Amino acid sequence: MHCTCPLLTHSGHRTPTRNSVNSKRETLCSALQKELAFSASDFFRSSCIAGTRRGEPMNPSDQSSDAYHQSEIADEIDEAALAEVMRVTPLGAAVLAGTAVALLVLGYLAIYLMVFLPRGTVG
Amino acid sequence: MTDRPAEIHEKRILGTELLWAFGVGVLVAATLSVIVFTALSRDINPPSNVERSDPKTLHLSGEFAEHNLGTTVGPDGRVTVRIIATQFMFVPRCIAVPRGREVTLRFASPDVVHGLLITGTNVNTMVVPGFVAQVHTEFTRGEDLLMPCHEYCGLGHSEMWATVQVMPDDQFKPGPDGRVSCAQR
Repeated sequence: MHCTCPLLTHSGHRTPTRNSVNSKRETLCSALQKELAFSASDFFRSSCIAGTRRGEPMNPSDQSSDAYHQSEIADEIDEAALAEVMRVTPLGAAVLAGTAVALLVLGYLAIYLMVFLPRGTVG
Repeated sequence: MTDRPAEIHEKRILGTELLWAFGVGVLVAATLSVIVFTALSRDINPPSNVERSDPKTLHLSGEFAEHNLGTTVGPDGRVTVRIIATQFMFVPRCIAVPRGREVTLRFASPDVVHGLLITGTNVNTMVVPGFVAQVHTEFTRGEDLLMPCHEYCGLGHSEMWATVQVMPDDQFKPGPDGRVSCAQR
């Protein structure tokens, strides 16, 4: 779990000259994060997003994720499961949409045959 | 060269979308076919007539003068009904029509836009001042039908309605002047 803290340098990378300073600031950040707990998480996360918007890398090479909570870290993609989902999903969508349209057409035909035609000619 | 899984997925989705587009095309074609079939085989069409009238002199002279309103049977046996839709009544308030014969309904308005329908039939049209609304139809059930105004025309709109009296052919007998009224029954 890591996030670019506003107290650190912009990129979050540790350069040799700034290493000791950043280390102290990181400790301070951690303490601050624990103190502020949940309410502060949005602030730190927004800082991460802002860093990304500036075109800077969000994930340094030695880190796997910038997510603040564990639950926010994306699951690994299982190709087999993905293939199965992609095989079934269009079929399910077609069945759902087909059923809806079929009901609509049946309603139209029922009114056409049982109401409209018996009412006779007009023109 | 073997396709990557992502390409296979995209092809599958594209295939589904094309199939759906084909199905929708078939449905649209079927709906249009039903409309054309109905028009040709059952003679059911939207009423269409462009014929001008002068709202200022509508009730004074011409086809819609007072003495000419109501049901008339022509020398050729054609039944024509002329009605004025005005705020807030139809004139006349009751019209007699034969059962099982073609009837031509002609409407005109001297004031504002009105509309009408005849319950239990497909008769449904607007009556716009300055134009004659014309509907051809055939009444198949012998009963009294309600003909309300269905276009809001003012405070008395809800009171604007008339009765269509559908008569069996043996009771539908025109007088010497070729006119038929509801009082005959």
